[in-house]
Amino acid sequence: MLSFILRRILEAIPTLLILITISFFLIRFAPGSPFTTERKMPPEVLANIEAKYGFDKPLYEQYWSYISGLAQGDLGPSFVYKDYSVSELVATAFPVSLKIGLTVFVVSVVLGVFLGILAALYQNTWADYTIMSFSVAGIVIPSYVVAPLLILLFAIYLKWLPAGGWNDGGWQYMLLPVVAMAKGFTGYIARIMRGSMIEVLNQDFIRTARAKGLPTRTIMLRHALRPAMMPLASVLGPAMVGVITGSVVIENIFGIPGMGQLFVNGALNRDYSMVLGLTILVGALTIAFNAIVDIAYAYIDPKIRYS
Amino acid sequence: MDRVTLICRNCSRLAWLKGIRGLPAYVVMLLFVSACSDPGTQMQGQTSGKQLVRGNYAEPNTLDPAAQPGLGIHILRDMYEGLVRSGPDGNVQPAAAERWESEDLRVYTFHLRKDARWSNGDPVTAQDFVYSWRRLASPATPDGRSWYLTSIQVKNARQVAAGDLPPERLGVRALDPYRFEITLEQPSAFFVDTLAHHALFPLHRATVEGHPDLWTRPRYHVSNGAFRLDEWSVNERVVLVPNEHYWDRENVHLDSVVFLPISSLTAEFNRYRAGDLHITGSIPPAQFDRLRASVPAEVRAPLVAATFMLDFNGKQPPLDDSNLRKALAYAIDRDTLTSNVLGRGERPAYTLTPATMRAYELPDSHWSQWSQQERERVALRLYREAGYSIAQPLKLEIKYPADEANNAKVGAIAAMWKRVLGIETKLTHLEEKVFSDHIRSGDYQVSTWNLWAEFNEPYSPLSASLSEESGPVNGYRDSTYDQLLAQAMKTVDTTVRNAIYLQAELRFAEDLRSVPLYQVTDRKLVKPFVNGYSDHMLGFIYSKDLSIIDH
Repeated sequence: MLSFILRRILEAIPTLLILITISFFLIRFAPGSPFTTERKMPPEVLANIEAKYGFDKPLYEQYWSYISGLAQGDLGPSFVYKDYSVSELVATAFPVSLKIGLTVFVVSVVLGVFLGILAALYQNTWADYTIMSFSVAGIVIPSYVVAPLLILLFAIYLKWLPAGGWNDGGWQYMLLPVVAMAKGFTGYIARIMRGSMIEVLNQDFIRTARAKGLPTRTIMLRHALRPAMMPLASVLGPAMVGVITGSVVIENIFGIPGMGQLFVNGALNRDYSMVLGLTILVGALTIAFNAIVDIAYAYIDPKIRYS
Repeated sequence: MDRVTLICRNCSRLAWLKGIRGLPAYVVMLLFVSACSDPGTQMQGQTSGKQLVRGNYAEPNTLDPAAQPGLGIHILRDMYEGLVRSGPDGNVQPAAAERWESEDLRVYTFHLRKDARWSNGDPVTAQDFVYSWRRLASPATPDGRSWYLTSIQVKNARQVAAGDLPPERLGVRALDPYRFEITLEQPSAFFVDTLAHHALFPLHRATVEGHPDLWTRPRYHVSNGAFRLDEWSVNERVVLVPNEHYWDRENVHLDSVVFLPISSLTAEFNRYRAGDLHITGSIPPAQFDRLRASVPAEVRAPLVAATFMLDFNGKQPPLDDSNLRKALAYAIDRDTLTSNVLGRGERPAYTLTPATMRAYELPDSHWSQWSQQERERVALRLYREAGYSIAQPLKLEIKYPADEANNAKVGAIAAMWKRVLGIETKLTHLEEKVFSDHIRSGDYQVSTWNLWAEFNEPYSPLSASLSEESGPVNGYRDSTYDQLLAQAMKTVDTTVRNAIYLQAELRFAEDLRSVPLYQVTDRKLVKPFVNGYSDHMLGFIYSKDLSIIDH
C-alpha cells in the first residue's frame, strides 16, 4: 500500500509539470495582456511595469523563474488584485469554497445514496418514478435558473434568508447556495446509485441471502451497499474536486468570495499567475482525489489489492 | 494569511477527531473547515441604523490612489480627502485646503487646514502632498497615473514620468507645513477644478514606505478622509468606519459604510430588493422601465459627463476620408437610438463636450442644427461622392467590447447605416482585453468608446482629441486644435473661454475622427431612507454627505 501511494506521488510530479507547462504557454499566447488598459499607458510606465514582473525577459526565462518560484511555494503576485499575492488570495478563497463544497458533497452523497437505494428497492413503482423525476429535474434545470428563484422566494418574498453574501459562512448564508448546488449533484448520485443497486440486487449472492431469510435491511446494508457503491466511488473523486473548487455561477449569484470568482476574474483579466496558480491547485487536487479513489477501491472491492 | 495560521492552530485541537473510528473523513473535514471560520456575525440584511451599504460593481483592483484603481474610486473618495472636493453642482469646494491663491495662474499656493488629521492622529501637512504627488509622477510607481499630472500641466510632470528628471524636480513644494505650492508648465484658469481627482489624494508617507506591500490593508492603512479602512474581504466587501481624527467628524453621520463588489447586475438588484443594499452600482437594463414606473422615487438616472462615441480609424482607407466619416456620422438617427433602443434617459450628443456641462450656441451650419432628413440627405450625397452606391456598398467592421447592452445599440447603428446608405457592416464583439489590444495596435475600422470627463470643464473631454492623445490611436493630429485648447486653458474669462471651446468643437466637426452619439446616464437605485443623496455629473457620491433616516 505504501509503495502504491509513493508511486502515485512520483507519477503526479511529471503530470503536474506538463500541466503547468501547457497552461503557462497557453495563457501567454492568449491575446491581450494583464496591463492592457483602455487608456494607453506611457511607454516608460509600461516598460517599468513589465520590468517589475519580469515580462521584459524572454519567455523561456520567465518560465524558468516561475518554476523555480513555484518550487519554493511562491505563486507570484496577482495582476488583478494588485494589493495581494496569489497565495494569499487562494488561502482566503479556498476555505470558503471548501466549506460550501464539502457541505454540498455530504448532503448530496447522503441524500443521493438514500434516494437511489429507495428507488432501486421500489423499482418501477410510483416512489421510483417520483424520485427519478426529481433527480432528472435537478440535473437538467441549471443552477442559474434555480438560484435566482430560490432568492426570489426565500429572500425577497418570504424574507427568511439573506439574498446573498457570506459573512464568514453563517448557516443562513450557506443554505440557498448549498441547495442550488446540491440539487443536480444529488440527482446525479441517485441515478447512478439506483442503476448499480438494481444490478447488484439481481446477483446470485443477494438471492442466496434472501433465500436464507435475512431481513431486507441486513441484505441492503451488509451485502448490497458495498458492491453497489463501486461505480459511485469512481465518479465521486473528480466530482469532489469540482464542488470544492467553487462554482462560478453560484458564487456570482450569491456574492460568495470563493475560488470561482478568482477563476473568472483571473481568466478575463489575463492574470497569468492567478490562472496558473488555480490550475496547479485543481490539477493537484484531481490527482490526489483520483489516488484516494483508487485506494478506496481496495477497501470496497475485495478483488482489488495493491501490494 | 491569518486564516492559514488559524487552520494550523486548529489542527491540534481537532486531532482527537481522528481517533473516532468509522467517522467518515468528509465529516471530519467539514468540522475542520467550520472550525476555521469565525463565529457567525449579524446578518447583513438587518443592518444597524447607521450603516450604509453601497454597490461597487466589482472588486476594486487596488486601493492605491496613484495606481489605476478603476473600481475602487468610490471607496477612495470616502477614505481620502484631496485639496478640494467636487460639490453637487460639479463646482469645487475646499477640503484639505481651506483656501488658495494664484497671481499669474501658473503658481498656485494652497493653505491647508491646520486641524486636518490622518486616521492615526498625525497632522496632514504640505509635505504629505509633496510626497504623494512625487510618487504619482514617478515612473517607479507601478501602474502609476502620471498622465494625469501631465494633462493638468504640472511642471516637469512629463519629464519625471519619462524618467528624464528625478521626482524631486516635479513642480510642487511645501513652503511651510501648511502651505503647498504648485507650479505649472503654463497658466491654467481652471486648475483648481482639476484637483478633486482621486489620483491626487495625499498619502501617509511613513505608512506607505514602512509597509510597501501591505499599506492598503486594514491593519496598516492610514487615510485623511471622513472614513478609514476597517475590513477588506476580497470579492465580498470593503468596510469603512469614521476616521475619529477627521477635522469635520461631527458632520459624519454614518457608523460605517460597506461596499459590496457585486458584478452581476441581477444579483445586486436582488440584494437591493431584499434590503441588504441601499445604493446600487447600476440597474439591470431589463428592469429599468418597470422600476421607473413602480418606484420612481428610488430610480436615479442623471445625465453624467460622459459621451458614448464611435471612433473611426483614420489612419487607413477607407475611413481616412473625412467626407465618408461625416456620411457615417450623419446617417445615425440619435433620437431613435436614445428613445427607442436605449430609453433610459440618454440624450443625443453632437459635440465632444456633454451638453449639460457647457451648452454652446452652435451655428446653423453645424450638423446638430439640421433635421435628421437633412442629415441623411447630406450623408447620402457624401457617400456617393466618396465612390460608393447601392450596387457597390461600403463594407465596414465595428469592433466593440462584448456586453449584452452593446449588442443592441451597435446593431441599431449598423441597421441605420444599412437603411440610409446601404453599408454592409460586420459586428465583431470582442472580450474586453482583446478589444483593448486591437484598439491599441490600430487593428480596427470603427470602434466604440465612452468619453468620460475627469473634471467639470470642457477641456477634459476635448483633451482626448489632442494630437498626442488621439494621434497614435485614430491618427487625429491637428495643431490648430491643439493651439485652441492651449489658449482656452489660460483664458480666465469664461465667456471668452467658451467661445474658444466652441471653435475647437467646430474644428473637430470638420474632421470628425470620432463621433459623439449620446450622453450617458448613471443609473442607480437609492433607498428612500438614504438622506442627502444628490445626483452628480461626474458620479462623485461622497458617503460623508449621506445619512440614514429612521425607517
